[in-house]
Amino acid sequence: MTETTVEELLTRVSRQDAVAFRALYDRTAPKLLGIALRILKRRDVAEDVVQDVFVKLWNGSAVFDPVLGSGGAFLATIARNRALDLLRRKSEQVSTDDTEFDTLVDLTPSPETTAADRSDLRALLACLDQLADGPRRAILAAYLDGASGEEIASRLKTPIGTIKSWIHRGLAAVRECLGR
Amino acid sequence: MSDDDTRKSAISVFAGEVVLGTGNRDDRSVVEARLASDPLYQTELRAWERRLAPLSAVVKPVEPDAALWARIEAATILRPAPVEAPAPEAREGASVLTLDRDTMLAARNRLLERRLGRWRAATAASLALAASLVGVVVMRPDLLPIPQPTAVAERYVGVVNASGETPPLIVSVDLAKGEISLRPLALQPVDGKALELWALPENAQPVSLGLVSDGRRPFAEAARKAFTKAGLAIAVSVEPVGGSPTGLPTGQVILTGKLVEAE
Repeated sequence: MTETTVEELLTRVSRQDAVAFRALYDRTAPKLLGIALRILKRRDVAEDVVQDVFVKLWNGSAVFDPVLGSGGAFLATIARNRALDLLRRKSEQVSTDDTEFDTLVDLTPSPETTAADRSDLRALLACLDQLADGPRRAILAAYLDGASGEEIASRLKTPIGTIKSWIHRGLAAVRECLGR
Repeated sequence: MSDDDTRKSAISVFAGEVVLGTGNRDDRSVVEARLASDPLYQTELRAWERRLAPLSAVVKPVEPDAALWARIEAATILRPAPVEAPAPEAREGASVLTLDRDTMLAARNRLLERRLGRWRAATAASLALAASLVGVVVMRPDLLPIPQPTAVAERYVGVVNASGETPPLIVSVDLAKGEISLRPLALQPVDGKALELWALPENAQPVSLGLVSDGRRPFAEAARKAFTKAGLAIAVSVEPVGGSPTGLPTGQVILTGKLVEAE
């Protein structure tokens, strides 16, 4: 028997299938918590993000559209968006620790990543690899850690104007490279 | 590059910056307001989410506490009935019998709060009872096999859940006969205590449905109306031997579920 896909589970959850809901949670909550925790650095707030995502799925205010990517990518996106909202809204919660988020970014996919998501990741990393080191690190820090332009500037010890132009040109190059 | 391409590219990159969450917020809100109704901008926001989402694959998963699922379940599948009265100091004990409606509601709120508290504390629970929240299946017309002395059961019911665990308790209600039957499965007794089942109708106080150990018997008429409403919440609390002395739940709520129509 092949394992039910996240996409199938999402479709069933949109019909308020409780069994699928639990299965989807078991399958995806750890990843979503990881995403939110990395951005928010606080477990309680990060768990609120995960709760929010699942409540939205259940009551139909977040609906999966396959056109927008894989089920995992969809869930990751709504979790990240929510985490970023909370991070920016409560600026006092912005992490003040000095962890060097930019020194070592591990870019290997975590074990549960599906083959399709792995190949999407490979394509994106190939494009990011064509960027210079600074722009690539800036984009990764913004996406993975929710770092603002100012934070990236201070951590890379680079003027904010330079960071902005790195990101601007970096995104234009990534878009071109991905060709979609 | 044509002017149109330049414009498209600028809008796309701007959308990318918005998705990344970088850039000056004030500038951004001005431009965003201008672009809010631009379909290209909206398309590019979604496109950037999709382009960048694969990066999430590198984020290491973090195992949530068991209490998180309990909170989510409480807010979704088992969403408690809306609670309309604030909870003042509702007192424990026999005095509850004489309380007015508001206080009754407060008592019910307290029950719901306890239930939530129980969920939150699920991992730390000291009770030797299965803490898992389980869909309790209710069969309306005499569907459940209370074993007859000589006959082989002719009807069966299955409860399916994600974990494959046996449910603690199956409750069946026969409106025609006015009977309820409780069939404990994976439900461990608590020494020196009784387990009592409650109906939690909306906007009314809990109605006792008897002790789990009672098996099959007539149900309280007060419960009849509640039964006919789909999705009636039910709960099991820990009570003194013989059941709650007050007619309302006094002990910890250890299980909750909902009634569903049998067929």
